[in-house]
Amino acid sequence: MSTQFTIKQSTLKTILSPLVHITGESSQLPITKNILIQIAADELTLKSTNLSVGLIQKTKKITKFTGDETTILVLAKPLLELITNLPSGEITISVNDEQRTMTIKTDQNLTTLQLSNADEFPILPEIEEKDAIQFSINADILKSVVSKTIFAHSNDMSRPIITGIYFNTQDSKLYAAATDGYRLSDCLISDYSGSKDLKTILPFNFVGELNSLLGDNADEVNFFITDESVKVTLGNSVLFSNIIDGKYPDYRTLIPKSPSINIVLDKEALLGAIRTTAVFAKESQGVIILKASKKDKALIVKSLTTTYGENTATIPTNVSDDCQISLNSRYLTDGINSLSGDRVVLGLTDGMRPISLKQAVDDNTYTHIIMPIRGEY
Amino acid sequence: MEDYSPTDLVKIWQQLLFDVKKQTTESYYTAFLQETQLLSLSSDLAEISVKNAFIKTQIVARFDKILKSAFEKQNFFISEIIYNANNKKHAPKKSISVSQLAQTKSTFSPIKSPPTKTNLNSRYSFDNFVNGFNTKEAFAACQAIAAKPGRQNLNPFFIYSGVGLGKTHLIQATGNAIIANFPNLQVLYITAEDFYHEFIEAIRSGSDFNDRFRKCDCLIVDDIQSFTGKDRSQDAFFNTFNALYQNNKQIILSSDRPPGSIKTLTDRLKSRFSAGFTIDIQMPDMETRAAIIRSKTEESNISFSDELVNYIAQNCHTNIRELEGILNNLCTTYELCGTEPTVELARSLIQGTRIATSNNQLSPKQVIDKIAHIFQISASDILSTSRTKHIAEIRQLVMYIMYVDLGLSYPKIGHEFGKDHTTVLHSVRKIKKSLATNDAHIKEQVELINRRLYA
Repeated sequence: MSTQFTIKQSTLKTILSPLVHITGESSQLPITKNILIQIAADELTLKSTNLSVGLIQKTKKITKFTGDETTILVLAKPLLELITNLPSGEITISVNDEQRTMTIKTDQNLTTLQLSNADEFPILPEIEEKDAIQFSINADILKSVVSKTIFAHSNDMSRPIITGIYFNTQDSKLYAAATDGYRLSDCLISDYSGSKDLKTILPFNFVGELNSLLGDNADEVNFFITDESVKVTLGNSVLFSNIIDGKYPDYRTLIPKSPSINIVLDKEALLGAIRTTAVFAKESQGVIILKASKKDKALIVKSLTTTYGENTATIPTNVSDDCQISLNSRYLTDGINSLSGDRVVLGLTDGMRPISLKQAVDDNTYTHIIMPIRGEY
Repeated sequence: MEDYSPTDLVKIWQQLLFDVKKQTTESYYTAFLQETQLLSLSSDLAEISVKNAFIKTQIVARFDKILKSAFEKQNFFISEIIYNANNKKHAPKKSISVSQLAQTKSTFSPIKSPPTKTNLNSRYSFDNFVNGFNTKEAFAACQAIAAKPGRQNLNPFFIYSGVGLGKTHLIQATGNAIIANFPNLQVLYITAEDFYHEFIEAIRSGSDFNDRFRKCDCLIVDDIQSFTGKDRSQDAFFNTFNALYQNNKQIILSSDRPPGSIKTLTDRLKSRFSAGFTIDIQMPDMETRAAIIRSKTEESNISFSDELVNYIAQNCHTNIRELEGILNNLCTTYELCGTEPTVELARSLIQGTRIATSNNQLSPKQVIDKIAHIFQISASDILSTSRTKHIAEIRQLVMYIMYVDLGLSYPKIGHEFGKDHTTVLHSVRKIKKSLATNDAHIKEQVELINRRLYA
């Protein structure tokens, strides 16, 4: 009893790397360090899970199949390391079911890997597509949404709710939001025509894995969401995850509706000013001061005085009113970097209210806000 | 259909899992079944909460049959098990409100968090503190602090006294008054014991410990003597103390003895504690005790005759808690049985507590152990023949206490130490003489022992 097929090294490598990422390296269940491979005459199906996220990858790019269809379980890391180091070209893989071994053969190389009992591998959750809330997002849009939100999520596991990315609908529009309590990203994804309103908190590691799958995959990403879990299909991949149970804070009330001062700046100019000033912010946990001055017709970026010096950077611009706010420089840099385009619009109300960052004054697709730092600076 | 209480369900589920555990591997069990819970059980239906959808899929696929047969073994013939992922009962998670979201834990607080828990008991106020001759100074100092927290000559404020003389009342009242006077200021009351526990917890969870304490404008630490021997907490407290002190934040400390006498407190803490204002509270005099009784009885709307008030005041003279206990007893008896509080009733109550305490009379061995503990030396040091001045003095004190408090004879005490009765006689006389000549040091030691021996 044996099974044999050939596959291109590059094809196998591309399929394997996201799978290995998801294996349960630190899981309580050592069996999850393996990848399940179902070998059929015309298709290869590979599965991995860490019991919170699960991934299925399929490919039809196999040739010269002989023998019986079979399912094997093999340690993920050694397999990927091996395949990565093999020369590009055809690889012949044969499975000996009786001896529970797998042989990988190239022109110069012969490797034998021990297999585990495939029955012990966890079963991935099924989602009945008809019971789930369904919607699709264009892969490019999703990619941009993820890059605008995922950096703002919290890592504080004692408040699991804000460690996730919040997908929610409002007025027939789908939004994604993330916050760590000090800054918040709210990003419009698309119009939403689903039957049911959506209020789902997706774990950030799921969103991260999804993002890395987006690379050169299909155009459409299909979501299926139930009360318990989420399934995403894109191209030849299916990604499952638990969802975070709980009610996300009503974050929209935190976003300033119409800031009294809007300052339009060149992104690079502002980033440069923050970088030089932040040199002197190390002693003060990264605090820098933004000062809008109507008289000077400028935005002034200042550091606090430290033991070794201080810095002031002036960016000439039109300012409608005076205002001063203390902010964390890293948060500000993160926020500015998340904006598309080469402009940034700072929205200020006063030194005690959050500052808002937008791509254009009348742009409502993406808003990032940062809480000011209170204190006497 | 039967109803099972939550405890029943827990028991049933534990038994059942015990059975199931034998039929599977350890890693499967920990990964899938350990965090499950039986939510409800009826004649043909069981509802089980599981951690998440992944676990649910595994249990349905692998354990459904095993679980059903395990139910059968316990005579529950159910036809279906419902598995409930993300169940609220499984892990109660509260949603976060916007204000909580805006609350901060890190140093770059966006919004100053609303007054956090102060741990203060609002029951304690200056108004219901009976200010007697013994507390006059302390009371005035506390009021001065409440009027202007952080003033230089009263910071840190260190108050010490025996048990039940009103330290806690005074410092909590100060905290409450500060909040009333300056609603913006953050006041935090904590016992040294809790401080220690929070510190341990912070180390364990790796969270930022200092933040909470350094944010406050007035830090009140009760029973500071229990820092004894906890070096790292002392370090942490030292740093907190310095941070607050340098920013002119008010610090209030209480202890059962003056800073200098807290043996294992590091010197740098001792010197800092003594840097501000240190004051002690003595046992209230007879008039003050009577006033306390009046104020307490007014609170509970029961009138006591003058004779009764005087009787209690005269006979309860060790601490205020004992006095409160007697009063509570009298009031409760009056409320429950309608028995008028009388001198006779009070007498029997006081005798009752006396008998209770005399039953607790310490053995010579216990006295040695306890006193050794108070002075942070070992009992064998006391019993040794060491002639070190410090040890010898404590030995004499122990003999004195045995003679006076336990009423033991000279030879009997001598026997405890393996010494001649004349040695004991000499020791007791020496201490008595020191007390008679108002030797401040010995007097303080005897007071300390008396306070702590029966505390």
